[in-house]
Amino acid sequence: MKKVVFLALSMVSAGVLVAGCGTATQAKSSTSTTFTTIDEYHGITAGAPINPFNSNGNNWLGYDQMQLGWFTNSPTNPNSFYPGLAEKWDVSSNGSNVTIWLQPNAKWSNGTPVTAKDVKTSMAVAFTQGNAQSFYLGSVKVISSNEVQFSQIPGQHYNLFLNNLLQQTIVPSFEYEKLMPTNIWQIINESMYTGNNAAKKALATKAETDLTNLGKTIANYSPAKDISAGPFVLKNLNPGEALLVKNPDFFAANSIKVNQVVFRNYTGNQQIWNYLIAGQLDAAPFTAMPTNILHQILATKGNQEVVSPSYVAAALAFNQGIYPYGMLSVRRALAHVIDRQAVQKVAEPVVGTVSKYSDGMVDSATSQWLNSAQVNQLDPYSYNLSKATAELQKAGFKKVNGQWLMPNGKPWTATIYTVNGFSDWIEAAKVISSEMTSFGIPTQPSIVSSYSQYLKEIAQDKYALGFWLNALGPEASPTYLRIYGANDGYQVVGGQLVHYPYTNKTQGNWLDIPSTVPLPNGTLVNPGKLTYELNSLTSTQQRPIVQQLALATDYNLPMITLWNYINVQFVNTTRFGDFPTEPGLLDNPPAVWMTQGYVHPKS
Amino acid sequence: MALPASKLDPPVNQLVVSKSNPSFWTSSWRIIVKKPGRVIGFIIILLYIFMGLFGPMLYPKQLPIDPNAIYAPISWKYPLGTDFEGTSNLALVITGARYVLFAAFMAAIFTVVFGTVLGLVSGYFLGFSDSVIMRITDFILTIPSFPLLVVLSTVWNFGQPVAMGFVLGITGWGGLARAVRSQTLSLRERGFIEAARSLGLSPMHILMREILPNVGSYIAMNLLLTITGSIYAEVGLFFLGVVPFQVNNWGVMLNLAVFSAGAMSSAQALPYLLSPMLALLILTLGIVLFLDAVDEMFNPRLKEV
Repeated sequence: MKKVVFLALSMVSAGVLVAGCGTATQAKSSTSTTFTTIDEYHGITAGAPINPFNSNGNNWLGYDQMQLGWFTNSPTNPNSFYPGLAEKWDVSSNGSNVTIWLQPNAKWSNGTPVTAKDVKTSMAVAFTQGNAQSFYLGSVKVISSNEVQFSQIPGQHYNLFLNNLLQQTIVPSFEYEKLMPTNIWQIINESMYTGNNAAKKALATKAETDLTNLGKTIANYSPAKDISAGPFVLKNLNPGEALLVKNPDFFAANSIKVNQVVFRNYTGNQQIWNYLIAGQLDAAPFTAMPTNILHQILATKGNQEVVSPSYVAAALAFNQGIYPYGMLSVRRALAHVIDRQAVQKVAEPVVGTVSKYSDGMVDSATSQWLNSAQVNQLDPYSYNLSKATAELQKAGFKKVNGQWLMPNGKPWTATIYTVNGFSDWIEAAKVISSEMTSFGIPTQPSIVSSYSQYLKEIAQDKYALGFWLNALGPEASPTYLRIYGANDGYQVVGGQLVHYPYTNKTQGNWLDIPSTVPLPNGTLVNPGKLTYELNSLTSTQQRPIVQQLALATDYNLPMITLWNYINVQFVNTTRFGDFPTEPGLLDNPPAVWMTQGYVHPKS
Repeated sequence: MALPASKLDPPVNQLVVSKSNPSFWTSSWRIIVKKPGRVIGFIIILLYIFMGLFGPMLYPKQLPIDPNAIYAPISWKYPLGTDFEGTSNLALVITGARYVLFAAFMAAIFTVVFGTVLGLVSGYFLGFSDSVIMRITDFILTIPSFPLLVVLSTVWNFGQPVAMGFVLGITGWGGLARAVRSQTLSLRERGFIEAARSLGLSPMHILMREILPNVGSYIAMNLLLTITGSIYAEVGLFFLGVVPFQVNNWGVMLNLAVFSAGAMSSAQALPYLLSPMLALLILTLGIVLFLDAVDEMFNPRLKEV
């Protein structure tokens, strides 16, 4: 299972990667308005609570789990959203204050109106889950029954404040408020203290602990039944599938032409492939697959491939603190040794495209941020063994009996680390190993048993060469934080940017990129500082910084971007028609398509 | 007047192994060629041994890849098709045989040595040593070995087949020890063993020269069966993906064929799945066919007949 893609897309809440399917449950005889699909994030866990904060919770985003808005996955306009439970919103000029107005007809599936109180309670819950802290939410003020005002923590100007805020899950106050103490906002306020007063600091520590414990309690809570403000509500569930029926109280119920939705269970990609080959899914999210399976799926009557952008890429990262990868010539030589066309063709033939550049972004973002003159300055590092040889000889490497010797006289051998289960990374590691070995650098792939262990060990400088997800967009800040963030020793402490050097083995700096790096024209820039600045700037202000970071990244090659993932989904037009084509909408769950008036049953 | 032990119940091996009799190898050859099934099994085992010893020498160290021939069908160029990167499946199976077979052989050796020695000692000496050894044996038998292997594989590098074989061996000797002990308990009451004791022969002599030959056929058969069992266990570990990645390992091939290539859903990738399965099937067939000959080779009574 190509878990890596699942991980990638989950991390950016973009499209979808799914892993597989599950039970041997036979397809029910569907009515023409029963929409069959699988959930992009998880299979079905019978017995798990109907609670969106539970890791196995039986809720489905967009169907019976609602947000204030739905993103459009725009790299240059992170505040572009489709309305969700919020009908509209207003952002102050500095982006620190947001006011939202709820849909006037928004109701829960028991007929109770969705109110500002529900939103405030949901934000309190978001604090217990650690979500609200990540976008510096400072206060929530109920203005009226359908109007709420949000403010960032004073002094913060996080430019994804609205973006993050609109993507918080909204739950009913009458269900979740009782789980929290009456002084929950006092606890939240105490937890946000960052000053030097010892007594207040102690209170803040206690409050943080209280919130963490409360978060666990809430995540384990099991409501008696599904209360949904979305277009569907859970009717019944078994280990094989979940049945959701249309919610007549949904604010846009008239737009919903689907009466029922069936979610199939799955445990691996193979099951999804089989569902698709059998033509049983009306829509299927991103699922990694080889070309032979793609051809079989497309041969099934009604199946169509739908492609939309995805802002994730796979890269081979260098630990520059480990000899000889701190040498720019070595990194460039390897970029010329690796045939990215072959790597992508083997590793990710269906849901990947060869990366043109290693500028830290996916190519579609590059074309939006950089002008043509700047794009021309990017080195594509084409497959060219002569250039690779020249780079190495320039750096003092020698080839003896077909094997490269490093300037220190020792033979150059390498190990490329990847993760068990991430089959695209594994296959890519194998191809790159073959290419490097053929070039005279004996190389072998090595698989780490779990992703958590991989992250732990890569941070401990155990890997000189390892696979890495980069370009995690669509926004510019998270994109470059994958390179010049904590992995390069840059962290925000007490609102200030702090750089932990490579020699500090406890703070996770494993990339060891020099604090200043040159642009192609020789100008020196500090990529960690530039990346931090992206946090608080508008798109227009970000543009020159992103351009500098792109040029610096491509020129200095902290990692070689191998391929960009693309969001390949499938729809079946046998039973339903009028599927959307807008890329931004396609990156949301099908229930959001339906809310926007798409997906009509065929007569 | 008591008769000499050898007159009462002569050790069987002394009857069988005498200078006038044909050598072990000659008699073994005669036993093998007696039945066609045995010959087939013998040839298959020889073929796999050849693969293990010389297979990697038949191909370049770095097997060629061809991104234009991914999951290529069976052809003269690719007799078993190709894998995810266009490498010949036949080359993968042949070059991968060394690790798989060597690890399995080492596992079988560890199993047989541990199981036989402890079973003999336990069954012959009884008393305290028997109690201690059998409690350890019970402990080993109680451990669910495969889950244990999965856990061990997360902390132990199985890059070398000896390490893999050792771990498979130390978790698999319990059953053999129990069986050898039972047979030893039976044999130690037989007249020829009592006679040997009466003659003052050392326990080592009695265990190695009188009892061991009588359980030899069982041990030899167990050796072969342990090889197949160990192959399945290690291939299973590789299939689960919990041990180091080697593209030509049969278990890794199965893993990638099922989970990455879609061999269960697509006929195009089926040769990639079937290649290691075929290798396992033929090896098992060879060992099963050869077991009959092994029984006769090492069982003194059958030889006698």
